[in-house]
Amino acid sequence: MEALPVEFREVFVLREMEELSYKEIADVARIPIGTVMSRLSRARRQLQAAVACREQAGSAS
Amino acid sequence: MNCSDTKRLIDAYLDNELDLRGALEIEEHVARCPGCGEEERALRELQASARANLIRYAPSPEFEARLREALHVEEPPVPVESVESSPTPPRAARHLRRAWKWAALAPFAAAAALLVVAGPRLWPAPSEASVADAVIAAHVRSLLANHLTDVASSDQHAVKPWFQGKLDYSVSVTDWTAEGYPLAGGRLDYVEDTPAAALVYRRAQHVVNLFVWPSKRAADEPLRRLSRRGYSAYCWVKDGMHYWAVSDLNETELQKFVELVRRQG
Repeated sequence: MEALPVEFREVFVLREMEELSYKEIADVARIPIGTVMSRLSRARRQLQAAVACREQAGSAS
Repeated sequence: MNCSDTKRLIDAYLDNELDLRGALEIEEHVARCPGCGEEERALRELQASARANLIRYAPSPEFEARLREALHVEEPPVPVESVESSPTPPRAARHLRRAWKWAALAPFAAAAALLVVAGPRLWPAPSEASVADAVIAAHVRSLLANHLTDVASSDQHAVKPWFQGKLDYSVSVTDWTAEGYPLAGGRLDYVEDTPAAALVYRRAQHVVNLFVWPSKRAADEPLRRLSRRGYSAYCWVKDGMHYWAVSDLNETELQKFVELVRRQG
């Protein structure tokens, strides 16, 4: 989570923890809805990659 | 729907941000495409694990400053859904805008909760947003599953007694044929695990579902409007009952319906 760029982290946290809609996130973060979608999508892909990476490291050691 | 469309839209699909048709198309594609099915499964897993394990993170100083600024704003920015664009008479619009102040502040209140690092959840449960989702889902289900009414009657004296014995509270039923909203019947529904009376009205080709169930809150609450996936919902609390009117009717006609219901009794 710390590895995520802060603007991705904000959008991800507003979505997953506060369960705001895209429109509400757009209003709070003052970015267009399209940007909410792309940041959320990239945040998830990066987190997936980070989790996979950690699992691989865990099984190697 | 192909794989590249699905990749582009799958996040919005998982977040319930797609319209019904889009969601059904993705659902269908994911069911028969192993690659996209795996992607959906992995994303859901990530979502579940994030919700279960994440502790709260402090936002960046700039973000916090923006939130604080937003919280101190006297007049919140134009409400989430642009009420002004609808052709409402000025008085109704003003009334609605006042009602909206609360709703417009809600996202900021939720975001303010983020400022508390690893603190208790400040957002009351169930939130109005999740009730809105449940009520609109119930409305859509009633249209999709061909199960609009349990008791089909335009006679209010037939619909009201039908609910007795099925619900432990009494629901007032009025037929508004003369006003252009004929009663089509009633149905027993569930909203967030609570049995609710659904009164069904018609307006031309459109259906309005009026959900009524008892509230735990003692005080009346003003009218608020929410919208999801092209459906509008108006809600209020009066005399210890929750009222939610849901439809795809245009704003003016739905507002007129809501005014009728609010005036009764």
